[in-house]
Amino acid sequence: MKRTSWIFLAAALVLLSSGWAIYNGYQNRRIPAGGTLELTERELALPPVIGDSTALLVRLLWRVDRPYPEDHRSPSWLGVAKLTDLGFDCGIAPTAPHARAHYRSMPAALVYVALRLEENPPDPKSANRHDGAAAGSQLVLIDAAEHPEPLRHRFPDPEHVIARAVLHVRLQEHDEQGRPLPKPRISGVIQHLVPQEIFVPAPGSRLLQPLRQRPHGSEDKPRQAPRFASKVHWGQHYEPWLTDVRLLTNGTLHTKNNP
Amino acid sequence: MASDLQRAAQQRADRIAAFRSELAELEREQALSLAPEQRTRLEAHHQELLAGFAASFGIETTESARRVSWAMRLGSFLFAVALLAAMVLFLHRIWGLLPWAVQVAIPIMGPIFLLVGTELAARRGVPSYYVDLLALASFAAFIVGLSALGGIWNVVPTAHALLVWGALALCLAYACHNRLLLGAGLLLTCAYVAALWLTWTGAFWPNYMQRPGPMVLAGGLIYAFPWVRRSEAQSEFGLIYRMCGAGAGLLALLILSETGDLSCEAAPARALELGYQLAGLSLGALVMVHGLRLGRSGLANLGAGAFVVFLYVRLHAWFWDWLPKYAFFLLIALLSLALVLFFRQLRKRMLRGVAA
Repeated sequence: MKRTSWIFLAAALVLLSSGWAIYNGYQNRRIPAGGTLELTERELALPPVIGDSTALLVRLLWRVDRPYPEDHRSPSWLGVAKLTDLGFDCGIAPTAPHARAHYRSMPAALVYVALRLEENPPDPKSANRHDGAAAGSQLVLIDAAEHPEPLRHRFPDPEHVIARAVLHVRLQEHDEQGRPLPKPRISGVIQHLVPQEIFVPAPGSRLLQPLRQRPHGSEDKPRQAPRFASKVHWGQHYEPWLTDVRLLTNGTLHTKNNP
Repeated sequence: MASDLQRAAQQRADRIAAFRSELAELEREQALSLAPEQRTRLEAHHQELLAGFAASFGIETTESARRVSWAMRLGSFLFAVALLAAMVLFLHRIWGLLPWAVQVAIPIMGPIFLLVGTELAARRGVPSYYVDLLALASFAAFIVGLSALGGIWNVVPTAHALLVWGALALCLAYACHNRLLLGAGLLLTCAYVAALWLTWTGAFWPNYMQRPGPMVLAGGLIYAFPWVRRSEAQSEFGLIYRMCGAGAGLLALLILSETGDLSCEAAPARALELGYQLAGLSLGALVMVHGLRLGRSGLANLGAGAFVVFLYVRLHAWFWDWLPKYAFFLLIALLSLALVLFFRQLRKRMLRGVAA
């Protein structure tokens, strides 16, 4: 093959793969099958300004009801039975001699999760230092499944959304201070939602740009009064996008609306 | 292909320079002396050849020209890197102000413009170094562009991106005869095979290095490719195929020898680890011997390096905890000495082979 043919093939590859990405993006946004929620700054964290970049992404903040204070991303419902349902091989007892090697080598999996927006903010007393900015979030992760249909069947109402998350299994032998636990336990840990951050297109990005200036070190602290709100949709592929970004003043809608 | 001709011309010019230098040395040692008419004819022929190469391909025919050329290449590399950094940072600066359509168009059109630039530069006979720079920039722009598109549409990262990045690198490698891009393409293909297999098992693909078993298979196939396609075997690309195949396979074996592959339930993890350790040691030695037989020092060094790494990792795992530290390092020293003696014997045997 001649050089020109290889270059032509390379250009075709660029166009086809980019076209495929755009087609999938449009397909995802055709129907918000995953659901739609109205979220505020409590659930959508603005990243600090890096350099003079105007590219803006917001990070989704969520919580779980946890059985142990140190397991800030291990929900109480994510026990051995649930992990087995999700396809993890949890057949080896946590006290077995090769349990550590077995669970350590188990790769994380991409699963579907159900999230619910609670009406009231969480009790600040229940938060601990691990929660960081997510301590004030009203978005709670309540269930997981290998496929989205069972979740939608279990939570048919629109207050529940379905998203994707990375989950791994952990054999916990020590507590937060490094002391051995009386009995090792197996738990599931939600690493993060996928994608972790949601792109904010213009004109919403222009609206939020001035809010990014925060004092150094305050990024991980929950905010008392949210300053902006947005609708977040999860589409056919359970990938999110933002619409209707608008500013809030003490919980009320700002006059300068984003259409 | 123009770049191939250019490379061949540069190699011929290098051989002429080496021949001239050796001839001068032989004449000084009075081992050879050319008749005046022979010398004149030879000089005229060389001058004619070098002038033709310089005019047609812009190659360097003297040592001083080569030094200046290296400085120019370094300058242009810095120029290209700085220009790309400036463009990326400028885009970051204005990204939030751009309309949606422009945000989507830039990641697609950036690599396309650079590909067109690569083709035009090659057609106009621009030195291959600059064509290579443009091809590398196209590849980098495609990686950044596709990632940016994924970010704009908030898509779940997919392993297939590794495949299209690898395919583009391979296309550009064959278009510009660029070894770096060929290596990148082959390694991305290996990574894709491992990531795809992990996806099929239900796991999330970015952790593919946790279960790199399929990389051994992919590395083996890449290593064997020059045997299947004979035209590649003797070329520089043949060496890249072998080095990437061996490198990917040996790296995967090194990881497996430490973790064991628990996806294979047929044998206990400890036995599997031992199997991978032995496989890694033997494969390292085989790659070294094969590299020596082919006369490819890069491949032989890779095999020797892998063998030594496997050996020392094992020694550390077996002896570090229970041997006194001084005894452990003494053991390492003795083994290193044994390796030096082994390689010395090997070199002697090779020299005898060359003499015979």
